[in-house]
Amino acid sequence: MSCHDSSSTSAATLERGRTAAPRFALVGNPNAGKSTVFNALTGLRAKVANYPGVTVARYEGTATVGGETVIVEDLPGAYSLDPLSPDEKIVRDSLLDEDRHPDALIAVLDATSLPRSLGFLAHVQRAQIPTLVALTHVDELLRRGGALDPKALEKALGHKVVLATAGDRRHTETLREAMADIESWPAPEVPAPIDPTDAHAWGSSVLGSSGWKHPNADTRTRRIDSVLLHPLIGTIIFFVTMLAFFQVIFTLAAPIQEWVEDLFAQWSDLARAHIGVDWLAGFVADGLIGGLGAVLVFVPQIALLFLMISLLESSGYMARAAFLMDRVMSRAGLEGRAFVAMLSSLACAIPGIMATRSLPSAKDRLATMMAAPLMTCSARLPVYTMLIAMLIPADARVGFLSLQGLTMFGMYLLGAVASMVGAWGFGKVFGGSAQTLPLCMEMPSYQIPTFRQVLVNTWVPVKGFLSKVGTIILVLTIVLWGLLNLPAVNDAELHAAGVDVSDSEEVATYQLEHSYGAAMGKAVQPVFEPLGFDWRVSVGVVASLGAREVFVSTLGQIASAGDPDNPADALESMKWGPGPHEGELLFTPPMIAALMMFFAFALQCTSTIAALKRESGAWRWPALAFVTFFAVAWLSAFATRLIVAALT
Amino acid sequence: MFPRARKSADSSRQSRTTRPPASPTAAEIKSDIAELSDRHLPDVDPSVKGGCVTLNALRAGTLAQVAGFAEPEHPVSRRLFDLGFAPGVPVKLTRRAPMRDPLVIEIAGAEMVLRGADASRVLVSCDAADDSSARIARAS
Repeated sequence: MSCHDSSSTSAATLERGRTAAPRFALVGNPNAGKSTVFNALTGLRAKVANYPGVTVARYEGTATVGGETVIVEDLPGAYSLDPLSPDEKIVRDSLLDEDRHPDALIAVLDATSLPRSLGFLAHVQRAQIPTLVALTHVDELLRRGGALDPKALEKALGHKVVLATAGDRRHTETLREAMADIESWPAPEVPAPIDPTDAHAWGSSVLGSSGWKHPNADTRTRRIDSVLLHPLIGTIIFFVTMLAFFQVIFTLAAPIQEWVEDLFAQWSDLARAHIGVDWLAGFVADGLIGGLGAVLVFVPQIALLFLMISLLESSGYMARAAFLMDRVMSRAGLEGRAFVAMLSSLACAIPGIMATRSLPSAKDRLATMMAAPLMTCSARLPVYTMLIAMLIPADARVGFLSLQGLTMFGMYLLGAVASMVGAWGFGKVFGGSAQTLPLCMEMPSYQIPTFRQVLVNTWVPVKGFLSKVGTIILVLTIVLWGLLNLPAVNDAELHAAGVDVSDSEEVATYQLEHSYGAAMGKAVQPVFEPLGFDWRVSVGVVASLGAREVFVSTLGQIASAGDPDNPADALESMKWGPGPHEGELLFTPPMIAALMMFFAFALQCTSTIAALKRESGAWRWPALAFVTFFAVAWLSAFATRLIVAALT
Repeated sequence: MFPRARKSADSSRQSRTTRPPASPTAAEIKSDIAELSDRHLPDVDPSVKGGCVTLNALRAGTLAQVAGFAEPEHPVSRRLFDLGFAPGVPVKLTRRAPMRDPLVIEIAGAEMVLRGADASRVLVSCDAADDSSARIARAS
């Protein structure tokens, strides 16, 4: 039974006493400017979730209209209600839903491509929901020599028509005023025809009577594209842009991240100095402050990444990048826009996973987001740096290139290839027989992004990252601290074991070796022993399942427990403890290479798992990714160990 | 036409909207929308059929008019129609990607990226310039 009371009918008014807030939905083509209208109405008060059971993002927010709060939903962009993609099915199903369909529709039509937009409006009319037309890009239409009379369009269509130019506050106000009075919205006496011949005739007649003049080609865009999409120059510019993108993420974010880390280290020291109780000091300093620091250290990089992506997207260049990369991506069974998602994964898989929302095919979305963690993310960097330094001498060279640098580049290349292969593999598994969606991507005109657009597109995902994913990293760091520091050893135990209580490193080593974490490490050691890892490295690997950087700090803790002045030396000279390998060197070249391969493939990031669950809507996908990548990591580490041992 | 019958309890509030003779039910609306998937695209006008090529076979920069579809019953053809490829509409293949695929097509005021395989479903004729195509020609 419908849970709506009679006061929330489709002719809803804003009289007092009505209980449910009216729901408006924005419908329109992709790129019509729906998000701009949505942001103008809801500001930063939008929430992003998932439509149940599908990998489609749902944008809902509230707006103040006529002094009351209303709900505004930004439905996915669609070209037709004859759906091809899951997004379009969602739009159709939302409009057809008997109980939960929107109370009113705002049809966002792009004035520069009005013939096509009118076709979609004809489809939407069949849902029989009060509809208002919001016209976007009228400024661009006029700039390009086109023409349109909105009043005449209103008359010809039979719907109320308001202008909705991006950035024009007055237009937003007019829209709000119109939304306050759904009752006054006219409806056409006869719905538009949908039979193709009739529909085309209807469209032409509406365009004719509203004085619509076809805009000329955007010469500015045309000129820029003749360079940026030139077969040779365009491709070179593309690679340079990607390189610059890559570089900025690392060089700009790095100092800010160091600053955040230093700040938290200072606070940590303060806590340790001022809290009398030892274990509490440790918990606050390492558990809480360290935990918070671990969350916030990601933020500069992610914010910067979203900023750059937002700039590339709003300016229109992203579509060109997808165009240039489409052929390459289709080798992996994907399309050009998947490239953008993979690019984002270079800094962190999480924004990459979120970027898959731009892909219309559900199969592509899932395959790309599952493969995104294989891209070399910034968390692997400290691990690779440490291991490469142990494996290869700093002065080793190939020609004039540093071998260390080459190896790092090689790891990045491995990540790129692995994620392409992974996406292809997952694609085959998920929907090998499904018909590939036809690519139809618009190339928008080049625009200078507005400050507000960029701000919103950067802030909303960062906010989401902080609130949802951040809680997981925080909880995990606290749990890991507990595992490595509990059960807390007391003086009596230390005396009995012959440990010098005044030597803090000895105490630390003893604590570590008798912690729950060590018990875990020794328990899982059999799994990792064939790869050449002992229990200490196993503890590091298990700890890094939460976040890869934790491996470096765990090994650092372990090494400085042994030799606080020179932890690097301690690592290099570390030997196996009692057991079949007693006395052997731990970090041999085959073992280091195996460790690197393990980190290249294994899914060691609960934040990524959380993001995968959130975007895919189910736990089975991250679970599948975890198990698959663990198996691949283990096997390739094993193989690498054998190969390197044979070669050295 | 509006509002939907099953939800409008208070007819006195609809004084300013046009009253349809009988409001449709949810089932009727559902089938109205389902009809969209049963649309039949028009066949190619026999008089132009001879001078037609597929869209992806055009030379970059050539102006043409959409004539019809190679397989009018195929869902992708219906999608192309919804994207603006209707008989008589001017169309132009602006450029190809460095590796020949995909293509940038100019249609109905916008530039769209289509793969060659999908573009080959659209039949175009290169003769007969009319007012709208002449306007495009003047602009480029």
